[in-house]
Amino acid sequence: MLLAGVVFVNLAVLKLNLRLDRANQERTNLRGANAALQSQLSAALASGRIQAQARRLDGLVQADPSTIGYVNLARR
Amino acid sequence: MKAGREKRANHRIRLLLALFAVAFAALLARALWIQGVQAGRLATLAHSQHQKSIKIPAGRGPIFDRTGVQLAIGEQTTTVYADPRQVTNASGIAVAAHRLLGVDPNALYPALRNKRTQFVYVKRFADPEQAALFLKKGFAGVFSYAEERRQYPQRSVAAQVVGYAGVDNKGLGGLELEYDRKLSGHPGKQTIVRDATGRAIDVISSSPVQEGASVFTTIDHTIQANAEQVLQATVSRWHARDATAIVLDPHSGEVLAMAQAPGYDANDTGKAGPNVIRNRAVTDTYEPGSTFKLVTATAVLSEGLVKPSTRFTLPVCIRVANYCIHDAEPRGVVTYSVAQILKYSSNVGAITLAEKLGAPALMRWIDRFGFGHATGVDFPGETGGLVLPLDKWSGSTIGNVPIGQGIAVTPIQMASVYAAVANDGVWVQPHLVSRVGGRAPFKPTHRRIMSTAVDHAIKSMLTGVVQGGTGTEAAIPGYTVAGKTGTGSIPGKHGYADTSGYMASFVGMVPAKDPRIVVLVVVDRPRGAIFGGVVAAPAFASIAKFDLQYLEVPPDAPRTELTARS
Repeated sequence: MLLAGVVFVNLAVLKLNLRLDRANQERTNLRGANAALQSQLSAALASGRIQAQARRLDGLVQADPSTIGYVNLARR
Repeated sequence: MKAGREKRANHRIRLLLALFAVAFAALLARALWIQGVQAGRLATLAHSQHQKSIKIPAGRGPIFDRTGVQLAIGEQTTTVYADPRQVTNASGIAVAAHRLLGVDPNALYPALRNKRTQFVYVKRFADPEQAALFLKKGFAGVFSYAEERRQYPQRSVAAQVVGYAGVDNKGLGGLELEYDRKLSGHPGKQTIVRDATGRAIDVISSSPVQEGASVFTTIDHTIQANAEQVLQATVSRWHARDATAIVLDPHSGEVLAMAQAPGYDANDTGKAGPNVIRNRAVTDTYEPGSTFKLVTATAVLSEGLVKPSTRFTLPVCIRVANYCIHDAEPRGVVTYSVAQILKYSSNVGAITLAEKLGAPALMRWIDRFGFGHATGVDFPGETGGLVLPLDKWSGSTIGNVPIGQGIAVTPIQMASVYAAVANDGVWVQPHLVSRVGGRAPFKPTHRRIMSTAVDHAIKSMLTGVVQGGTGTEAAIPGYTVAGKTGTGSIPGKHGYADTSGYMASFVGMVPAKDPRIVVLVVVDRPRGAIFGGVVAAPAFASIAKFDLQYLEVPPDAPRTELTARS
């Protein structure tokens, strides 16, 4: 009985270790994929790219600062 | 008969016993040999086959801008390599590597056939998915390992500030170098037991990996990108050698942008020359010209020798040693107040003020402003500039230094000095990083340079420079701008008489009443025009106008907006 128990426990540990190894591998892959996605996101957020896209696709240009009005609530 | 048979049987039993005894003795000897004499060697052999100590590399920490956008990030790649001694199908590997990994097969094939080496890169930093497809083919003698490669997703934006890391992921320049220790983290270590297929079936010991810390810069990628665009346009417009700009928050000392043109793609550092990679705002010096008159004016006001309204009659030129120094624009004899000396950037006026002050006092004020000392900005390779010690001054030095010649400063020094004026006379140490791993890496130092009263007077005089003085091109409708133009002569082989070009600059603050930003623009050797008021001031206005809108800074002078529109 004792021998059977020891064998059972060892097998369970072995199985767990194999799962752990796979999980570690998966974690590494996910981290890599996450970094790649973050890199893509950052590249997509580049203001130069956004401005160029807006100009090309929708004809949008940066508003002239002198055309922007501000309301001073403190004076009213 | 029976006794004879028994005797033979006993004899056979004894023989068998003897054979067993010999066999057991041999086994015992073998066991003793293996478990005793050879134990150490065999244990080592078994360890090397089943146990493996692996170093778990720490991921290099990302570098963010102030809005949380990544400026540098580590991307996972797979490096594929081969052991030519184990390779059996060199041509198959070369063809597959060409098809899946884009490797030149003509270069790879001879390397794989060279049995004298044991390591050949098939493809370094390969795309993990492509590498997996290649490895699936199961070529003998082909192996792989995961490797991190530094990526700069914003490409040229803040390239000189962020710097770069080498192929081994060590910081080699810029903030990558300055914060390399923090970014690198500490690798972990694991001792594992592997099965016959190489899978880890047990972990004997491990020390945890400490990932590299995240570095948050004070740079805003939008402000930075705009400043770079403006500088690029300025360099093209004036056929200049290069241009530098700094946008500072005067109250906190945070650098919002540190731009230069021409730029380069940070993912392709190898193609950029050392002149382009260098962050000139911190590592290079220039003779500032008239922007330095701020120091002369502050010194005479602080020493109580003059008031902003004190008037001086200024000759056409002023004689200093063997030279007669005149103003940039020809004029007759004039009477200027101190404010007008700054407004019209009079060289004769500034030298007159400096002579009233005296060389030792001027030198004290130069030191007090921090010229000749590094600002301590968190960037590698900062220079403190070049200030001639008082005992080395010649008779003509008092005619040069007060107008910003014969002295070399860095753009970051000059920007931080004007930021002190914007911050009611208190100098704040400029810095590029606000947090490393959630903590401030250092506390910026503060020191008062001038009294609040003098500061207000100086600010008012600098406003005059833009309102009708040499800096009108820096005006921004709706806002009051305070600043100063500078045109520094670059001495040639025979000094200033043989100038090799000019450094055109403008440095100012806006809104002048309560400055939110200080912007400095320096243009190196422009052609067609040389004056800071013509070359650099429009670039200043362009950068500041965008930043004010982006930062949602309300106008402080609506009347100028109406005037500008009408």
